[in-house]
Amino acid sequence: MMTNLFSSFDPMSSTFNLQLNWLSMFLFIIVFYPLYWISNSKSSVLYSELTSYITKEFMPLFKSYKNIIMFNVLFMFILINNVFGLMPYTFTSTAHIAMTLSMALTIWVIFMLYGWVNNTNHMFAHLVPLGTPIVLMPFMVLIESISNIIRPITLSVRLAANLTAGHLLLILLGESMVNNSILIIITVTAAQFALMTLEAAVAVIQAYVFATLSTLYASEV
Amino acid sequence: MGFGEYPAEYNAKVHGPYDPARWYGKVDTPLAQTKLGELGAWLGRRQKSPQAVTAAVSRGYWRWLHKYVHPKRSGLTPFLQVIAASSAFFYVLNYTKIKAHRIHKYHW
Repeated sequence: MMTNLFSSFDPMSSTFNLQLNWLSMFLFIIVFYPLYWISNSKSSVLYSELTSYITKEFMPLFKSYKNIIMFNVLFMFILINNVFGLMPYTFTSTAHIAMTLSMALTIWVIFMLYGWVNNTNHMFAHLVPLGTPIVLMPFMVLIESISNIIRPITLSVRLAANLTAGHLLLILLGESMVNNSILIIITVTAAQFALMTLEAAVAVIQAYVFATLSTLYASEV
Repeated sequence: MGFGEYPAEYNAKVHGPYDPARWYGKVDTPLAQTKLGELGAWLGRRQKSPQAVTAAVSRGYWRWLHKYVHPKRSGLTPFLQVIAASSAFFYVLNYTKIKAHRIHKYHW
């Protein structure tokens, strides 16, 4: 019996007693097709259009394209992981806090270390927003410091929780259909169609949000 | 053959531009044309080192790319193939866990 509602989130595969489900992260390498010809095929146009759209979104915050490459790749990696998580039986690696926190914490620590070591005064100035009354300044510093410290947690939990919640809803609806009347089955299937569309949107949006917030945190340094 | 290097048998003057899907070594009988009695000898002639196996997987991947991804009007086929292959792979990987589902008889 399905002992656990979260069994589809379990990275432990039943073969070899190893956590082989994490191999779904490598689908990113298979799907990011290396090019051979100069002109794009229809399959690679999708990636080039997506990456050029993301580049145009992020370019105003950076001086040159070489600083954007990491965020482009971050967006594509999270997008492909999220979308493949919606496919049957494929493991969603970005629904795990271990994965999202390792990405978010790495990014945040890099920016904090670089910013505080090299531009200390600039970082201090960021703790007080423009136009703050003098009386409120100590409290603003406190609030801004706390909001800065919780950034890796919010970044990671937002992604993991969104994906987990969506998958969980679909699993729960699926379980409620069992041994029920045909009317319930039709209604629940319609609801699952709607939820699946929502999940596809959430997969893309959450990848975009993660990458955009990372670029914003980078531009503040 | 190191990582990222051309195979030792590749010669730009003889073979032209490098094609990662092509075998540049000594030509042997294709597997489909090998007689059953010669199969053992055929398998014995294969290189079984980790580098050779990696190179073979790489050539197979590039052949798939040449056939399904790089043509100008390729479409959705490669994506659907990857989705189907990954679903099948993870189904097999998690089969014992999936079989134990309480509602297993209502889904695959």
